[in-house]
Amino acid sequence: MARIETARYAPRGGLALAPVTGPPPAWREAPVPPVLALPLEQQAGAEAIPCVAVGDRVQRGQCIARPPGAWDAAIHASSSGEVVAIAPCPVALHTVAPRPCILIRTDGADSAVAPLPPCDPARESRAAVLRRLAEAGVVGLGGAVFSTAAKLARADAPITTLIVNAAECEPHIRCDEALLAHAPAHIAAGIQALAVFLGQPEVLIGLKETLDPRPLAAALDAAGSSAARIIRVPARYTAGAEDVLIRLLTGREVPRGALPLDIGCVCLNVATVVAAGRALLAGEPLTTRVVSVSGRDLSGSANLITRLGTPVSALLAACGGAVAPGQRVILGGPMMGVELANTEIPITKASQAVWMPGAGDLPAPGPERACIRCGACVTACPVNLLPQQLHWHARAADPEALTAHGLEVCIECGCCDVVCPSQIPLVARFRAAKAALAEVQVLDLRARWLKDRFVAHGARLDARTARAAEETALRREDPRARLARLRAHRARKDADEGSA
Amino acid sequence: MNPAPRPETPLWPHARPVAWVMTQVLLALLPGAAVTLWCRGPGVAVNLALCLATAYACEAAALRLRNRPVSPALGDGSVAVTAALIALSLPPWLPLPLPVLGTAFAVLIVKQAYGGLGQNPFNPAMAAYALLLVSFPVAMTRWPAAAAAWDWGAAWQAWSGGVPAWDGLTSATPLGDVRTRLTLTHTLSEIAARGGPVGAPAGWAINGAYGLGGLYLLARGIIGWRIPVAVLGALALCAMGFQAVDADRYPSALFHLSQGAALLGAFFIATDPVSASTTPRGRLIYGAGVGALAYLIRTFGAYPDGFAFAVLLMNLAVPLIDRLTIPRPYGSPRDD
Repeated sequence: MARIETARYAPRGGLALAPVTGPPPAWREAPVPPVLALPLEQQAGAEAIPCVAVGDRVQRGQCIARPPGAWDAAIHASSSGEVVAIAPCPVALHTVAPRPCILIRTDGADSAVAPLPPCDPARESRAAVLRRLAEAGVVGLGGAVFSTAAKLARADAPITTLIVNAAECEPHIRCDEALLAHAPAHIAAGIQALAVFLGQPEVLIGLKETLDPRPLAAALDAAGSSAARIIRVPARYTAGAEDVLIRLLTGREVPRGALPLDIGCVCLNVATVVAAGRALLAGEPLTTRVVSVSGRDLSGSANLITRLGTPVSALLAACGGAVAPGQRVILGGPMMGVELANTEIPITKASQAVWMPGAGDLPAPGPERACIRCGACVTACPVNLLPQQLHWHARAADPEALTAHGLEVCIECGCCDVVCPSQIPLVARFRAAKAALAEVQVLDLRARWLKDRFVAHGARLDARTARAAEETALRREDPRARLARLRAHRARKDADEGSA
Repeated sequence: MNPAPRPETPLWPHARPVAWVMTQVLLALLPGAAVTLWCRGPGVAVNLALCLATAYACEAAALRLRNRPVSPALGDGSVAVTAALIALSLPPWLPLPLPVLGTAFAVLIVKQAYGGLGQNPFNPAMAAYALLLVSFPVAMTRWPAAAAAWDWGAAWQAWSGGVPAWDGLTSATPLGDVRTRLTLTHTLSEIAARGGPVGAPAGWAINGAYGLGGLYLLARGIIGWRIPVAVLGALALCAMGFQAVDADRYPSALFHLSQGAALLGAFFIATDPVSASTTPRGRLIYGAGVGALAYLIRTFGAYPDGFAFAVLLMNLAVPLIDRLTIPRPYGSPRDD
């Protein structure tokens, strides 16, 4: 029986955000929309290159854009139809901005290409498994959209711990909860496949304590992963942040400037585990994701199995929500997500939730006031920083103090921001300060390089001057003295030869 | 189309503003203020009125001179807290110009000259108290005897700066009384045999009421536990240590905690976030410093109570404490 435990390590800081109450959301498929918009950039830091042209007919699961790097994730058509355009459309990825998209007019047939052959990690090579994950378009579905193949390929040292993140700590995001309730077998199969690939590391599943661990425990037993440990973590915001979860489960910290891999950990979101399992065992590329849709003015909240590229408006419509003028719509969790001015924005691999706040759910923060050093932000910070001191040093643009106070450790979770009685937009300030600090560091590097060049140049000049002076001195030597010196030299040489 | 900026701030309801925090502090001061008024007479109300009026007038004037928006700063309530703390620390029989002078100094020099709310290195209320105590030592140590607290005639004369027949009307504070009688080579047991230090019951009542208000602030999460616990803990530990050495010369921890500005200082004055340390460990050090210095000044200094000087001295140490107690950020080496 898979063990069910409670986290032994206490969370630091964080927020007990008001739990979202109500019955479990409905679980169903979202309708396929008439037009899908698939952004080419659905992975952190890499834009895929289209391999279809306008007018091409595509089928569900067909690769439509190839990644630039070996371990980067491909992009697939999420239904069948015709490519009608490849053009910039507004996309939400950290910010809402126009980014190139492949637009597919769906034909309603939803015909699919044949799945790839299964790729059994017990038999296939490491490279074949990684290639499959990249080809199937698997990226981190917890919002970071980092290529899973690239993440696993980076491991030089053996991985001793596989951490599965089911801590889901932002309110209104319940897509992982839905997977745990409705697809525990898929989760267990994914865990099993990844554990085999990684050489049977210790498996720790960080599960939000308000969720029922029994279905997953039963599925793990059935899949033969009964050594996996389910560790219940507090239903508290930032428990699901990678670094924080690692400390909650193992008591260890990822060193500053290092990756979880450097301490032998790899941390994957539970939806990513499912996608990786499906890619390896069933040869299925990633064409859907679960999106939580909630809001007081909807007919009911739901976890929708959504085709990537579906516009947000179609999901709201599927839940009985009409977007009136002035209605606010938030994509992603309220703490880390973005507010949409336009609900035609497509769902990407990064989109976990759509929230339509009702009247009064989201009062505007008051005007910014002076910091009174109350320290509420210090109590809230999950990574042990002093946000009010960072704010102070950011205002003074003091790079040394910012580094001493650990600015780069900030995970931009927004806890300090929410608890600040002076309503200071701390996270925005820290983001700006990080950018400025990086710029200073680049300038610093450049300055050091220029200085090295200058010093080396000076040394060369000095050497040349010295050499010239020597030559000049030789040339100006008194002819008799020169003759004497040469004779002495010849005599020494002869004596040497004679003795030899 | 320009890229939409990232939201400035999370899309979640934010904590209540500074004005709410200050209102809660004022609310928590009410029981202590009421008991003080009951024990010390109408002068407490007069001081409160004078200090509040002066504080608002000075704050408005200073903001106008500095070309800063006036109404938001007046609305945040911080100046009312400063004024209330000054008024509740002052003796009730002061010539009327003195509370005005102290408050004007606190707001104009200690707070606004340094840049207003959040910028002042010193606690404005305690700086005002220290200024008055140093400049007007006689008036600042004249407290009404329990029976004379509501003697309006004497109060009237005191406010107008006259010199009434003080005999029988004034008395020392319990802390001052104990100190005086100890210097007259009485022992604590002799003092206890003669009915104990004068006015001790009032001290108990006032400190108890401030303690209640402080517990309310703790329960609402407006102040942290570290500073009050460290202040009271250090005060009590010092008292217990010295009492263990010579129980006839050094009063008990309970006496120290129940008299003077102990609980007002621990819960309302030392916890002023602007001038206190901000790091968790720093707050323990800061609080312990305030408690220990207050004990030393009370016991060996020339002044009847030591909280004002203790707080100001520790304010001086805050930049150093803050720098030495930066918590270890996540992922940093442990031995640092």
